[in-house]
Amino acid sequence: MPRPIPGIEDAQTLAQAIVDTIHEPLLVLDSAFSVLAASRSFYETFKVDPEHTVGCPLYALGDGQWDIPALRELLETIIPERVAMNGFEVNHDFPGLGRRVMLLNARKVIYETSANSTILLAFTDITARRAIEREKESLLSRTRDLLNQKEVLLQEMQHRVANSLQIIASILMLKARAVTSDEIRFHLKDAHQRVISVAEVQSHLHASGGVNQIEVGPYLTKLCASLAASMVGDSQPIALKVVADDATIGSDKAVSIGLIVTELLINAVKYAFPVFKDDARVTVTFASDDEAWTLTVGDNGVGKAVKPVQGRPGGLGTVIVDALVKQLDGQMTVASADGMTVMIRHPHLAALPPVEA
Amino acid sequence: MRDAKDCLARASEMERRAGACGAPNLETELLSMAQTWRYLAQQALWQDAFTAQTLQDSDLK
Repeated sequence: MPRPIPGIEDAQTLAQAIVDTIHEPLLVLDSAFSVLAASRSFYETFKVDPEHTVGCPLYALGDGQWDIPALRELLETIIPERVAMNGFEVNHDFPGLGRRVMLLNARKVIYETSANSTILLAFTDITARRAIEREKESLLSRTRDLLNQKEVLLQEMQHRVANSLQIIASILMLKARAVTSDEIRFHLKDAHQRVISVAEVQSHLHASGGVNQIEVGPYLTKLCASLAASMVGDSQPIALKVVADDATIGSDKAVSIGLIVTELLINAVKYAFPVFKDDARVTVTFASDDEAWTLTVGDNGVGKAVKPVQGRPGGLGTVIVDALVKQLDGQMTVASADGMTVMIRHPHLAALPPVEA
Repeated sequence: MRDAKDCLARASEMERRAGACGAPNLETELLSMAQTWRYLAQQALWQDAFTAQTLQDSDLK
């Protein structure tokens, strides 16, 4: 509980001391808005002296520099209704000071023992703060604009890369149509398919927003859907299924995984079903646990051929898959029972044993 | 996709902004982007010319 101040004179002394001590400019006004007291910082900030301040009507101070419509509204309309008002912003050109943004806090003090009232009016100069805020906003706006411009540039780069791949694929297809040798046509079409596959992987990474972490499920699902649309013919329908958990993976690894899946799919479509099969299917599975992720591509076709077929195994597809698995530091196992299953397992970095010095 | 003319216009716009921005870091960024737009303009030139020629050739056949 606050201790009472001994006498009225002491209370006035204390009030004056408070007014003089506070850092921000402060005025004490009577009910007619004449100045009863002003803080030292008020005199310093607004370059006025006590002689021409105390006892003067506020609006007449400094040749009328305080006769500001916003201030009149605060004192004559808002304060009588609300008693106190904080953070009232006034933007005004003060003679000798220039344009300033002031934050005004005003409070009407009502006394129990008197019908008179006083008004405390404190000022905070926020001109510099507002300038910093404007500068910050401008900087943010420029940064946002720059990021937008970069995004447009990146998209254009990706479109042009995709276009280059498409042109290469078209050239290969044109040549494949022009040659008379079946073997050369086979190889040109194979090369065409591989370029298209690279374009597909690139386009799906682009569609995922170019973020570092790619959601494997949607990525493989979209990739396989477009591969199936371009590779699976009407003569042998093949059901393509993707089963993946909600794992994410770095975009660098996603490229390798996409290319591996593409090669294994090409292989399965080309060689797994040499004779018509009713329920031909290829399943792509991606699963991740605390220790490793596992990618499996399996079909229910004829399995591994006893006599090596061109391209399977030992063909270009196998060479590419081997290289990609090595690049990923993964382990590949191939099983041939009820079709062919290729499994690639890659331990997470944290799960790897420490390297001995 | 933007054609070469559009890419060059964007490159010029980036260079104009770089000259006017007055901030060294931003200027470097904008000039780098301008350079990339010019590279893309070259890509657009050969790609679009190649595509047009290929289409023309296939029409003639």
